Amino acid sequence: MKQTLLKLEGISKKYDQKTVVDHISIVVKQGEIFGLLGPNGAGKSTTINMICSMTKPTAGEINIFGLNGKKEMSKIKPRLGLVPQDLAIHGDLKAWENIEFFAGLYGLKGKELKKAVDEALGFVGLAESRNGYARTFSGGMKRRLNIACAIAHRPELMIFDEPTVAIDPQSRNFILEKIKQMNTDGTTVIYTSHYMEEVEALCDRIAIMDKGKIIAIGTKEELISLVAPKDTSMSLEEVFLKLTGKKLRDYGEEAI
Amino acid sequence: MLFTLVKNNTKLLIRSKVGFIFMCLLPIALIFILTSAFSGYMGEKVEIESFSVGYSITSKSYTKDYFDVLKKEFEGQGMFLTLMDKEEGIKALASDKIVSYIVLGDELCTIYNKEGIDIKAMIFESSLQAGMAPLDGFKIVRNYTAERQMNLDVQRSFQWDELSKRSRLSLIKREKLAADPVPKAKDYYGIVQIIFIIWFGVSSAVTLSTIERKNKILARISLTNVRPITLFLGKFIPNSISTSIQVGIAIIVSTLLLKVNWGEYPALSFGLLLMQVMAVSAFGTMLTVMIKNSTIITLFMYMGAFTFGFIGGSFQTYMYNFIDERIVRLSPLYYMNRTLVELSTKGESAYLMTTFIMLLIIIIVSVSIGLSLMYIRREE
Repeated sequence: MKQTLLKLEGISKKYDQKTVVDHISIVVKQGEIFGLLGPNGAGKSTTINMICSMTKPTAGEINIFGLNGKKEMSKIKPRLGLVPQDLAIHGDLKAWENIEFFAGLYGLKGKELKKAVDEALGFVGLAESRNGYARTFSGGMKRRLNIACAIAHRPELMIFDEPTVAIDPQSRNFILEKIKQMNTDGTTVIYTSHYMEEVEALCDRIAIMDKGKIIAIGTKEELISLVAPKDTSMSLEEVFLKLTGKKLRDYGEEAI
Repeated sequence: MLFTLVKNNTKLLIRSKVGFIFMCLLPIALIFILTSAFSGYMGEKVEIESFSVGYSITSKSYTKDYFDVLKKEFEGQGMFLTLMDKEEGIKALASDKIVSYIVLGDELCTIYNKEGIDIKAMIFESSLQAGMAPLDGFKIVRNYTAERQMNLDVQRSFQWDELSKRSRLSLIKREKLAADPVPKAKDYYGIVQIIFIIWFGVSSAVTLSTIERKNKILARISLTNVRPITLFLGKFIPNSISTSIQVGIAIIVSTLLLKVNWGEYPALSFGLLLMQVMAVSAFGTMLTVMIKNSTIITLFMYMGAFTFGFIGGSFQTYMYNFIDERIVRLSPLYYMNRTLVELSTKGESAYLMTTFIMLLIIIIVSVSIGLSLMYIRREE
């Protein structure tokens, strides 16, 4: 039986009168790749921010590595890594300097830091571009550097918040391969995206989120059976559209 | 952790080339411009030797009986009065053979001077007023008693000679007062412009803050266990290093080219400058914690530096002392300017301790406020 690494119980977030995340509960097991799928404005990034303690939940409990997400965050942070949706790298620092900067903030130093930098650069395929300034990199290279800065301190739980936005297919494929490799090496992954094919290819279990709520949660097969028990050839995208509706998010809609 | 922050933030500041070069070149340019503009007004020692004054006196002049006494008094103070008629006197005045020409008339005394400021003429006029005061006082009393037909024996001549012997008074006294040495323009501006420019070091703190916001670094940093004090020092120390390098370059260049005199104790002067750099860095870092808007901080910095620099002596030469001393003393730059200029010219300064304490207070208060705000926000 796999150990529970992350547990969200009834988590909510309100901004003034608007509920952005509405009483969601998720369990992520150790060693799995857990997908969080939803359209824009579903509440995925807010959920991630609450897990990482970048914003306080209005209600609910967070438990990570068996530790209380509110009171014991200082013990959780060194074991957690986040690849943010927006690039968070210094353009005027070289690739290796960026990784060193962020890995250093986790307390790595000396030879250990140097080794971590070299490994992270090698992992994301930027070893030969280590002395290049980040501002000179292509979009795909910047995304890879963004990942390298998050993994250098070897976290046990990695959260990827839409890591493949606006990059070429080769870079996207490379990133997805590397995430699988990371998971094979023992890292638990939470992956958020609104690209169905990525989530379908990568994730062991998926939670579909819309308008702040978890609509469905399970493996791809379990989700398909929710919507069309007899049609096993249905794609995840079709399942998603059935569950969340086809109307544009500007208007909102009641899900099936 | 701190070392990594300091190392990389320092790199970021030094690699912001435009800002970095601006801070190095601006003080050098200002020093050269102001030194050229004011070199003729500063560092000039004026020694007043003896000089001549022409005079004529009418036969019925109210000063006639008293004039010889006065003339002797003037000679004792290095001012020699020579009898000459008015035409001769005016010519001598025009050709600078005499400093002034006076006509001692029946009831009035008229002084002729050349146009413009002449220190010797001003000294003579003040001395004449002092010398004539007892006579004028006597004249007033005599007229008063005559008008009122009072029977007081004030009709005899005014005899200052006797009176001065008895009371040991002298009419005119010229003293050479001890004064602070006047700095040369290159030394004055070579020092005060460095002090002034250091205050623009707040821009380094703004640069770091802007970089963090633009590159969305703060979110990543919040995922770590970096303490607020580490974050604060991680900005304060690089700001200090960057500003010190910029100012150091400006000092080296201006000192080599203009031979700026930093006085007998340059280590003390540079130590104070370093302390000022730290005060500015702490203040700037505090501002970036308090105010998110970089434009507001930049405006505040420029207005503050210009205002305090102007009233504190950055743009004033010793000639243009038109701002009330009480307002001048509100400027932190005033104390730094006085201290360092006096260390340069005299080797000591009565403002040294005040300046040191003032800078220390700025550092302590800025760090305290900045850290408190960071801790409060972290709790929120």
